[in-house]
This record gives sequence, structure tokens and C-alpha cells, in this order.
Amino acid sequence: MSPIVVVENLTKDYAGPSKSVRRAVDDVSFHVNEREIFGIVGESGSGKTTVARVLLRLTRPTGGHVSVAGIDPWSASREDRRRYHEVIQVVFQDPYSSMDPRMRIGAVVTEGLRSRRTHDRPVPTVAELLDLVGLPASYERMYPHELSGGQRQRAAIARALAMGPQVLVADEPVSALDVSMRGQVLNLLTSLQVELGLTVLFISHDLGIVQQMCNRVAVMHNGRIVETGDPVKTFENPSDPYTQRLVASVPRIPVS
Amino acid sequence: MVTSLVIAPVDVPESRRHKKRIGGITIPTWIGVGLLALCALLGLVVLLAPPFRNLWTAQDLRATFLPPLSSGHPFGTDNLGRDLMWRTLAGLGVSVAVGLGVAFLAVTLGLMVGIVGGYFGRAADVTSNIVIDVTWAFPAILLAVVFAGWLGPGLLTVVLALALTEWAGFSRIIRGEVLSLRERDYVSAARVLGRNKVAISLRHFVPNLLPVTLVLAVYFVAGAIVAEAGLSFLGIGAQPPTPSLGSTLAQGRDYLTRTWWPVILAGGVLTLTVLLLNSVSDQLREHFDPRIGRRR
Amino acid sequence: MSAPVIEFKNFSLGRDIGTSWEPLVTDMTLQLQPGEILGLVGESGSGKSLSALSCLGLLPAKVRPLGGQLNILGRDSSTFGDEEWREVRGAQVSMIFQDPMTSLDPCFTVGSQIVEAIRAHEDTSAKEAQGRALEMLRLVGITDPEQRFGAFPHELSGGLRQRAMIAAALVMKPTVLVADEPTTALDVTTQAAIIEQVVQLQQQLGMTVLWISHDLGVVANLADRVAVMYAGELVEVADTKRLFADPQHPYTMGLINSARVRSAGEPFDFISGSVPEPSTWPEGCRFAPRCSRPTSVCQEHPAMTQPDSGGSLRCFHPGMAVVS
Repeated sequence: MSPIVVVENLTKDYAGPSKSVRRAVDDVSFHVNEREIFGIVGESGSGKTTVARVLLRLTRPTGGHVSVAGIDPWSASREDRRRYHEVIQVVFQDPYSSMDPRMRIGAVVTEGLRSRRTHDRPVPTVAELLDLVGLPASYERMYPHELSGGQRQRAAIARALAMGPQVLVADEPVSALDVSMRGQVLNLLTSLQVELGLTVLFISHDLGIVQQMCNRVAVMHNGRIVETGDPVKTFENPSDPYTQRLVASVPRIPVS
Repeated sequence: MVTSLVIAPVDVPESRRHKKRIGGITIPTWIGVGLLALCALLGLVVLLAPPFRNLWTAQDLRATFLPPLSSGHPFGTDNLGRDLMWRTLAGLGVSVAVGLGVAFLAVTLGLMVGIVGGYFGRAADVTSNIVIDVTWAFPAILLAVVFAGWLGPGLLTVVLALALTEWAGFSRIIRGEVLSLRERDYVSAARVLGRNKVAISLRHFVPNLLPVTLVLAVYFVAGAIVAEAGLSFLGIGAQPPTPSLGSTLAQGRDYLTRTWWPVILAGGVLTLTVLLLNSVSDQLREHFDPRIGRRR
Repeated sequence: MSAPVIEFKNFSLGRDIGTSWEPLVTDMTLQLQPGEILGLVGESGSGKSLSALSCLGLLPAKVRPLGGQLNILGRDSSTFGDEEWREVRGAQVSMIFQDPMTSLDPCFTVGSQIVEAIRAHEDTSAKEAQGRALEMLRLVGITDPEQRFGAFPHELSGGLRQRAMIAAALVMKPTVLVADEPTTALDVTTQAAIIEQVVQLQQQLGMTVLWISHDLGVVANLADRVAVMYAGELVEVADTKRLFADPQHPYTMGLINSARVRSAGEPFDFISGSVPEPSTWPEGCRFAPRCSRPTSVCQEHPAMTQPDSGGSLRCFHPGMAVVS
């Protein structure tokens, strides 16, 4: 197993009120191996989403380095930067705001195809993409608001996979969905990960989901990683006091 | 027990009647839009179509100051014996042409500067803000005088002077909208998909800015019509023999002691047109505003 | 059993869609017994929030009761005018929301809003009201109430803000507290603290609580009884222990399974299909299209029944009964 995502001493400061500085990410280092589902758990403000945004080249880091499949997006050459969109893709949390309400699903899922650089792989059609995520081809003509949250999230996955990425960042992909529909999307993600050999960076505040689907987990708190390890062992026997508090706070359904 | 899905309301006061809609737009809005289109068409045809030209330029010094409802001149005639009905219609054409020209130029410029300022980095934002502030500090009338000295008075001067001042306020609004749109997840997703700023602007910003643009464009038309009338009244706008509602007002003022109807007619048409435009703009805003209208 | 504090009797709500009324909540029969914590669980569009809002006469524009009855502290709420609702709100029934910013005015300090809540109902001096506001802030677990009293809502963290809202809601010592997903926007560690606080206050003040949530885990740890809503109607009401140990309605089972953590590597449970919009509710059993074992009888609309095991249920095939 070789690491495909490498994060080294990553720091991100935001300007706070009156010249103060808020450190959102504080000296974070971790790596994700190829074909691994790596979970990052933490509460709001823990810095987990900022780490993802730096990897996605959406937020410029203050210090440290990141690289995905050997490309550091923040110091890459122009050509590497263009290729980067075929290396890493994202599924956002809110399927209601992650699609332009004025675009049809067909246009949504193919939006990135025009910026594809490598032409050795065939360009997928809308029907193929929708089929990949279990949506009927007829959805091509629909608008996002005509779909349920779960269907929209499937379309968001199709949009990301259209680029043929090696790494998929899933930022709280089911927390905006109804509980009874979360499993559909999570199972789809898991099976696509196996089928396509994806590496998944799974960002969540839901310890249960992370425990069930991730190979490894990093727990973040106040911008730092406080614990890394096997999710089951980490949550059953947390060594860090914050992880202990977090695990104890999760409301659990009594086992029948 | 089988509960039918449609339940008759019990002791519920009749709620306010729902407006009937055609294509999602209420009937009063359609009527307003239809009336506007009719006025615009009529005015432009009378102004521009050669067969009509003679009707509003022909002078008859034997029939000056005819009152309204005179034979052959339903609106009466002016100091040179020109027919006021045709001159008012042609004046309406001038207003419409100026209004549309100003709105088109101001909206295009405002959209471009607003999007560039809101999305193309700090330097672009600072620069565009300075330009907007300077433009805002510049009264349209001053610019019109400058242009009149340079290009000579005329409708082109009026259109340029108004468009080059009016766009600034619109641009500020667009910049604010873009600042909010750029934080949407679908814009982040497009960036991750490798779309560049121009593509994102055209694909995501412009379509989503269209409602606010349309509403404001109609306001611009109304504002430009009033401003054109003002400038023509001052002699900077339409030059004789081109009739503008403003120049008709100005001429009418000179003879106000003898006749009142040129002023009342031109002023009345001006007021009605602007009222109609503003009400259509209001209705469009209501239509596009999800808090008021029905979501599309 | 003493008289219920809030009683829905075949209650239904609908939205004005111009030509007719689209039902949003139908045939709801539920009693809130004094001193209990009742969890009302459902997914988006189940009607749980609207049912809660109707207990305070706070329905959104165009939504109105269509039938049945809603009794609040023994009085028929359909007879209430604006004046009666004002008396009910805050003093008898109080509510806390998911987002405290919607119920706290950003232009006023937290303390002044609690004082205002007191003086809206009682003719007390500002000084006395202030004393009670401070006491309430302390009671909801705010450590330095004197300092927080003068703070504006945006100056507080999410957890503190939620506590301040609870203080404002409870300062009149209402009989009933309606809590509409008050911890959904909070982190789990904060959520745990708030839940603990509400339970403690409920015992201290002898309140009745209607706790609305989409999170079964929260309700399992908090409520005495649980009512499950699906597509505008109650499908199962039972004691919390019984409901989680032996769910009868297939939707309840599916929901519990969807929320339950399985061993690593196992697939996730879910209910197939998606939650229907009110306009597409089926005529018969509304859950049938997503149910794993519907039969021809499910084409009919099931009524609420009272099985021997206690509680109530809306299903033709309760429990694990195998249907051929």
C-alpha cells in the first residue's frame, strides 16, 4: 500500500476580528493509502472541512504541504494543475446547494467533462454516468429541485466520477439526507469505491457511519488531529480525552 | 376506515384568492407587459417608418394651436401647426429607444463590472470599486453637457451620458449578489471540476443573476425615459425636428399662456408610461422573489 | 391518569393551494400526559414540526387546521383568538427551535429579551424581572449569568445561545415545553449537555415536554414515550423501551435499522425509495410503496388501532407477522 494523499504540517489561519488570527488547521499531518476509505471525524470548527478544501485547491494553506497522486496543487505546474481535476473530486454535504438550480441534471453531471485533459479513457455519456449511480437515464432532462435529496446526492457522485478521479472527497455526504435514505447513498459510495478502486476521504461527524465504513480514522479537535487509528478500536477504546468525551456524547439506540 | 386524501375544509375562512397564472406569470403582469410592448411598437414604428415621418414633421402655419378634437388632429396642433398626436407617438418612440438603449448598455456594463469586481480577485475589486465610486460622484447631467460639447447635443449624447452613469449602482448590486453566489457549493464544485472563472461566470452567475437584472432593467428604462425628457427639456437631448416628450414639454412651456394641451399631453403620456413600467417591474420582482411569489 | 395537557383528536392540517387544500397532517390523535417527555420522530415532510407549531398557534401562512380538535390545557384551541394565543404562548406552552437566532432578536441583549418575556405576561418591576432572568440563566447552566445577561446573541457560542433561548422559553415556568429539533444544529458534545440540562429542568419544574427530532438516538435517551410520524400521520406510538425493543410498524423498524450502527464492513440499512411529497401520498397505506411486505389489503388506508401490547399503531400487518 502506498500513500496517495499526503498532508504534511498543514496550517491554515483565518483573519479574525481586529487583526487577530484564528488557526483553523494547526500542524496537521496524515496520509491516505491507495484504495483506502479514510475518515476524518470532528465537530464543527474542528478544521476537518478546511483540510478537504486545501486538498481540493479551494482554500490556500498558510503553511505545510499537501499532495495527491504526487501533485502538490499549490505549487504544481499549469499542466499538472489542469490534470489535478482528474485526480481528486468532491461530493458536498448539501445536495440542495451543490447544484445550480437552473441547470438540468444532464448538464450538471457533464459539467466537468470539458476540462478533462487526458483522452486515453473514453468520455462517459450522461446515460452511463446516471446508470453508474443508479439513476434512470430519463433524469437527464430533470432539474435538481425535481429530485429527492438522495437522488441529488447520487447525481453529485456521478458529476464527480465523470472526471475519472482516483481520490474522492466526501464532505458529510449524507448528513443533509433523511435517516432512512442515508444507507442507499453510503452503500453506493462503498460499492463504487470497490468497483472503481477509489480512495475515499470521508469527512463526517457521525462516528457510527465512520466506524462501519472506514478503514482508518483521524479525530480532529480545534484544528489538530488528536487521534488516528482503526475506527472500531479508536471508538471502543479511545486514548485521547477529547475522543473519549466525543464517544460518550453520541446518542445511541438501545440494542434489542 | 378509508380517509380520502382530499379533505373538505371545516370552518376555514376563505383565504385570499389565488391569482390565475399563465406560464407562471400573473394576468396583470401579462397585461402590463402587453401594453408596454404595444406602446413601444407603436412609438418606434411612427418614429422610424418613413411613411409616418411626414405626419409628425408636416407644418401648417395656418392651423397653429388647434385645440384637441379638431378635425384631422385629435390631439390638436402645436405652434407650428404640427399634429400633436403623431408628435406624441413619435416622442414615445424616442423615449422607448432611449430607454432600451440606456438599459441595455447600463445592464451589460454593470453585469460585467459587477461580476469582475465580485469574482476576479482583490485587485479587480478595488479597481472596479474606485471606478464605481467616481462614476457615482458624477451627475448624469454634467456628463451630458460634456458629451454635448464633444459629440453635439442629440439622442446619442443622452444615451451615452445616462448609460455611463446609471450602470454604477446596478454594478454594486450585482457585485453583492456575486459575493453571495460565489460561496455556493455548486460554484466550489465547478472549481473542483476545473472550470475557469469566465466559464463559471457565464454558466452559473449570469443565469442566476437574470431575475434581478431583468427587474432592474425595467426600472432603468423608466428612469432613462424621465431623464431623457429632462435633458431634452434642457435642450441637450432630441434636436428639432425629432420630437421627444421632453422637447414637446419645453416648447409647450413657451406658449403655456396660450395653450395648455401640448404640456398636458406630453406630460401625461410620460407619466403613464413610467407608471406602467414601474408597476411591471414591481410585478416581475414579486414573481422572481421566492419569499413573495411562487418558487419556479 | 390525569387529564392530558395537550390533546390532538383526529386533528388535521392543510395548506391552501388555491383550488383546494393539500393535507399536510391527517387524523392525528395523540395525548401529551402531564409530566412526561414525549418524543415525536419523523423525517422531512412528516408533519412533525407543523403539529408542534399548532400547539402555539404559530402555523405558517396558508396552513390551517382542517378538521379534528386540538385541546390545550383542556381548552379547544379553535376558539382561541389572538388574545388567547398570546396568553397561551410563553406562559402555558413555550417553544424552543433548532436555530436560536430565529427566536432571539439580534438587536437586543439576551437579558433584555428574557426580561421582556416576563413583563409581557406579568406586571412586575424591571428590577424584579431582571433578578428572575438572572436566576433562569443560572438554572439553564450558564456559569456567569451577570456577564451573559448583557451579551448580544451573536456574541455567544451555539451552545450558550441555545441555553439562553431555553432560559427565555422557561422563565414563565410554562406547563408544556415544545422543543423542535433544538440540538440538531449543535455538536454532539454540546447536544449531550443540552439534553441533560432539559431533562434536569423538566424534573425540577415538573414540565411536560414534546421533543421533536429526526434522530432516534436522541429520543431513545430522553423520552418516556415515542410517537413516530410518516407522511403526515402517526404510524406508531409506544413507550420508548417497547418501541426500540419491539417495533411494530415496518417504518419504525426500518428507521431504527437505518440509524443503528453495524459491524465494520457491513452494508448500511435503509428504506428503499424516498419520503413522498404530500401531493404524492398514496390513497392507501402511505408507507406501502416503501414497505418490504405490502399486501393487497394495504391498498386501503389503515386506521390507528390500539394493540394489546399497548400504545397505538397504524398497520395491517404489525410486528414480524409473516403474511402470505
